[in-house]
Amino acid sequence: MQKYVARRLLLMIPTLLGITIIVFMMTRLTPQDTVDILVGEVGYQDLALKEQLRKEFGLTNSIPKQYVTWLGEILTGDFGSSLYSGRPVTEELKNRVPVSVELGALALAFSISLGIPVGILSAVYQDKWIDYATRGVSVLLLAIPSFWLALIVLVVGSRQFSWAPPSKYFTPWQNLGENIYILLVPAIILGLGLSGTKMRLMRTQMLEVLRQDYIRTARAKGLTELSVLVRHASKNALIPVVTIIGLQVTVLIAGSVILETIFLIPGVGQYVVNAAQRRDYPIIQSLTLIIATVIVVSNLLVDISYAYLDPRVKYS
Amino acid sequence: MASEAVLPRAGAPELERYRPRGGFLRGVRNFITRKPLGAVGAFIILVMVSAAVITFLGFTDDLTGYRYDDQVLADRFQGPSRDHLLGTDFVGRDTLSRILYGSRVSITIGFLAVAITQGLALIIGIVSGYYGGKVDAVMQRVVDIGQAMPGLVALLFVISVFGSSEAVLIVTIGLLGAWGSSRVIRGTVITVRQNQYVEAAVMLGASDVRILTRHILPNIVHIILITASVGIGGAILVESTLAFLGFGLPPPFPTWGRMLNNSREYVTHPWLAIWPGLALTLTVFAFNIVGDALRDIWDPRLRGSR
Repeated sequence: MQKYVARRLLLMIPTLLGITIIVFMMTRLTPQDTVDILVGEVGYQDLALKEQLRKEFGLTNSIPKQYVTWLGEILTGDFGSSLYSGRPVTEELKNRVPVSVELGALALAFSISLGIPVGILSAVYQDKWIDYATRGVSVLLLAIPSFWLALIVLVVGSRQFSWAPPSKYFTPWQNLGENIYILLVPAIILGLGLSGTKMRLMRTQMLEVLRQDYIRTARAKGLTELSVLVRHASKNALIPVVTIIGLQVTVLIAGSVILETIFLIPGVGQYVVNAAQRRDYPIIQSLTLIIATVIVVSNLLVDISYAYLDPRVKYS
Repeated sequence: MASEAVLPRAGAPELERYRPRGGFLRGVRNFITRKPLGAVGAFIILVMVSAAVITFLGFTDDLTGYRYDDQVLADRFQGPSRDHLLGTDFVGRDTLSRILYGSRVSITIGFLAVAITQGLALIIGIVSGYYGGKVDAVMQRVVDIGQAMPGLVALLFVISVFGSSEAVLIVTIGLLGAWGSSRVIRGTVITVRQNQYVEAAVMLGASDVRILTRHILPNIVHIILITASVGIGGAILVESTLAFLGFGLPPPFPTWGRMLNNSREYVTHPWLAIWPGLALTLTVFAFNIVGDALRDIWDPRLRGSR
């Protein structure tokens, strides 16, 4: 097991290096470079100044040298500065990361607590109306775009309940009640979208497990049905669902970009959109890098937890 | 070809080519009875594709009586009526007409992006799965990198650099989707490769090209189609998400995502948000359930997984 983890950690290095190369190339291949944008903002075309700035920023060096310099900066935690505010990226993100993590965690918790029991229920009542209903709902949940669902909530909220999402954000330390109140609706919308996949997977896994011999043995021993379902069946059926939870990190990130924008939540997602609108390349560049790293690490955690939960998995 | 030279041709019994019984119509009827939900999905796709084709040929105006940019300010914010079946928007444009025009963007980007996705995924999947070994190990690390790219953020970046156009959207959405799809294709290629008929073909001295085109490819076509169907739905969703966030194709040509974006300012007129969202959801839903139905028919082992 330790060997396996070590091997996987080693394999992560080329992947992460590859990501840095792509992210680096993305900005160097653009038609205008940082200097063009900076000078363009001020509004004049001073070639001498541009040349001097390029030298200062090291843009006259060869591409590989620029890459190594940039990589060195990244590794020491220097992600560059925003072209818009001039503040370091890390500074700008400091207050935003916890907001997005909280939103994501709430959404994930909601989707798990909805998706897994519903999936089990659907499998237990296979081919009964309850099964058909939940299967229909789960397919629908996969197809409804979260931004449309959010729009409908806003429309219905304002027309029927004269409710509008709060426009001022509170951190949990300032006002926990207000904080949850702000995040709850977007978290539920995001979680609903994530729960569809879990419902379906949990259902198929349960059906698979319930056919196994050891379930028959458990029933023959005279265990109550609840005990069979909870202690014997769902434990094994959950293993692939855990994998899905890890793989949904990508969906979660995309979803938080959308919902933070709609519900005016000052998280990372909203910041990405703002940065893209302002063509604040360093910000998007470092965010792409950070988020890609998060995805790689969560994939690693999925694989490790999979190997840990299911001893049949060979560590190869 | 080497294998044909080895096989004695003369005197060998004529092998009857396998043909599915009945014609195309019978196949369609079979599909409808076996997979009613899939048939509903196929019907929705047919309607949306027809709408896109009609718009492409320029007949939509005759159909609805309005161009997508005909503004009648006096008639703004109308609900559904006989004149405007789905009502009008904030500058009095006919919503039905705009939704039909929007289908063209969604369908074009969906199909073309997935064509790129599947083309690239096929190359990676086949090379990686068929040759295995070091080639596979190296290619899979590249796929790891591709899969780790955060799609929406990467798209926002590309659009902020190159601007939004159909070509940029199609290529970028297509490239971002290829990695995941290649994994599925690779897995299937590895399974098919282990079949004895492939081994036999290798023994007979068949070339790689022959084995790939005659033995591997026909056995993975269904996987390509299943992943393509779900992929088109996904690509359409991504395109409208971008348009909703304000990074889609520039106005005035309507897209469902931008129509939804515009509706945000007019919460008091719910029709503006309902119709384009319904068109979008139905289309994505249709591609998903058709993918499901195809998988149930062609690959029963995978039933309901996803």
